[in-house]
Amino acid sequence: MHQTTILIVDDEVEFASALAERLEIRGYSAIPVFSAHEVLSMIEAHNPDVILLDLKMPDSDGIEVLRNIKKIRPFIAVIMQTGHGDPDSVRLAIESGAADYIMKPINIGELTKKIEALTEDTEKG
Amino acid sequence: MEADRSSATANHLGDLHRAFLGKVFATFSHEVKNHLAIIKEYSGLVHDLIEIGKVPNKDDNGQYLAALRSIHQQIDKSTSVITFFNKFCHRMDTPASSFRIQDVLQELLVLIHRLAHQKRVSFETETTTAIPDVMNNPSMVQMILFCMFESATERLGDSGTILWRILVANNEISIIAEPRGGSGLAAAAERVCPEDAGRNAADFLGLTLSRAGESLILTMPVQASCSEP
Repeated sequence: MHQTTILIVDDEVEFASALAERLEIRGYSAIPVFSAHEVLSMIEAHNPDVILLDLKMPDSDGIEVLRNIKKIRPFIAVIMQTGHGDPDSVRLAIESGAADYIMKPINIGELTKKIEALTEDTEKG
Repeated sequence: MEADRSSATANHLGDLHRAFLGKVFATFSHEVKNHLAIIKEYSGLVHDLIEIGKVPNKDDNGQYLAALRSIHQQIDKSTSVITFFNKFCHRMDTPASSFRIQDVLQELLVLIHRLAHQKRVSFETETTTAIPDVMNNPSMVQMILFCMFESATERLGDSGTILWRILVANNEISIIAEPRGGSGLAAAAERVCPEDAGRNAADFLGLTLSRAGESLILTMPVQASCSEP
């Protein structure tokens, strides 16, 4: 059975690490990535099904990172993490290719539902 | 006519001050939310471990201890930033008061630390040993210091250091914001407090905001008494 692989891209090291451990407990392969600069090489290395991407990181604009991901791997599902889910940011993220968004602090149940829905779509597609 | 102009200036400064407060409050709440997000994940992890039956014992408790350590650290960080935020808010209790300029600067730098971090800008401070107290509007002074931060950050581009120095000479205190390093001018970003507005605010408070090369200098008269740093 295919194990879903998730990259968690967030400069908050502890947040990403703890979330990765929680997703691992739920049967996913979860890899924390602490810098936007590493995202493309981590995609090459791990071939993820889903990327959870922070909208605001110190070294980059999340939307720009999202567009770069979509250029090289248009079929990877990207869930954007936003601080307050303001409609303009969400709209821009969706227009730029994000499959969904989630607000921080994250509800793990909501996140896994979104992951399941997206990977189900991919498997069917 | 003069009264009308003065009233218009006061209104404009009021708007500017509200925008400044909004920015600081948003930054502060975002930072606390980040700490809470980490606490939530680590407490959730402890819950998950118990739920899957991985009960800690003296030989296997590393994951629990690491999670609890992180929770404690995040609570300490939150408490510290909330303490500074509380002091920052109390600066508005009265329109004018006697205060230590190094304290109002430190409060502001702690609260805008996240904004600077987003642009990969760090702060350094240098102060002289004895700095006299200042009598003015501390919250408005913090707004002008924020204006200096925005100018220095704009000058730095997307990384670098701002050196904040406090000097005392000739019955005046000078606070200097000096941008160091960086990659050059950043693309013009939307500012809360443009430099001209900061200069007008300084004039209104009887202070001077001037420029020397790339540094911005806020100069203010001192009170008679001195406080240790």
